[in-house]
Amino acid sequence: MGLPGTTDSTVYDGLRDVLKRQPEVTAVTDEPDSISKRFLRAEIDPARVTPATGPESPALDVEWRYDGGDQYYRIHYADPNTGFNCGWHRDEDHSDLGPVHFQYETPTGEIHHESAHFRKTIPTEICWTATDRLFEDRLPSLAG
Amino acid sequence: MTEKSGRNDRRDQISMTRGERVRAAARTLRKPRSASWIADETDVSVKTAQKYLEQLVEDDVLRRLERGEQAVYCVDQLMATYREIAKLQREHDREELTDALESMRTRIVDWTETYGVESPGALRASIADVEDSGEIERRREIASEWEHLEGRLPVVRAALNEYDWASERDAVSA
Repeated sequence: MGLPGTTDSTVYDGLRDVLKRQPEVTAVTDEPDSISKRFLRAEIDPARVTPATGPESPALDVEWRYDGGDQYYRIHYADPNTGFNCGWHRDEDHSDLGPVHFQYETPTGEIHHESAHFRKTIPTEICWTATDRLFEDRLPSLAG
Repeated sequence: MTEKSGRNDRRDQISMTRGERVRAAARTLRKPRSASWIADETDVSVKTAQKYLEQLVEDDVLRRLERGEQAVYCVDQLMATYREIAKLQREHDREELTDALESMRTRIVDWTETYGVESPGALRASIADVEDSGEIERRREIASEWEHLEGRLPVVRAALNEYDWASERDAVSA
């Protein structure tokens, strides 16, 4: 869902560095374009994820917003081949689960939500931790 | 393979050096922070963090401020904004920037007229009076996009204002 606040392009410069270094990522682009720069999209090599997928490339979208002193974000992976998608969101949804939640949707359309937490507060470190959790733990156990 | 060894393998593969990790993190420092705070966030020593933070100050990426006896660092927002403007001027022609600016303004005017509110904050506040969940979702989506456009508009406008002058400065002579 839409995040409140405005973006800060310097934050996207730092986040782009982190995404480009992920072994699964083949390209990182500004979306919907480099003028409006709403979020970053990392294209994922379908053969480098576990379990392997294809033929289409999955996408990992990273959006960061600031509203006053608060940060809101969405780090969301979607596989167009199976319909599986999942991600960590810090937004105004599911406040019963705390500030951050993890959600995933199975190919059959079931949506699950659970509370999540990151020890770090710097966006690049949150993004790095999230991609670790995604590729090492969440995809192998949930998309397998 | 245990989870721990998997993590180490992957982190080795990524091989982000300590310096690169601090540099990437530093570009997100919107509030002034000390070197030890950044060191803790990026799992490096204070000395390492300090070294890269000072380099970024020299490169006009960060500002160094004195807080009592402690130095704190944050993004140099003025320089960052100028760099963003220069990037827009270099990567897009005048027509693309003009079209984008007009499209952003038109969308905002449309939302103002449709919902009878002057700001995304007012649109968010109006959600309290709406019961239909689809309409609540729509208003939240629009308020979010509106807030985002309000942040982008001044940058695109600034890029257009001195476009010709910047293009002349950017020309490479043979």
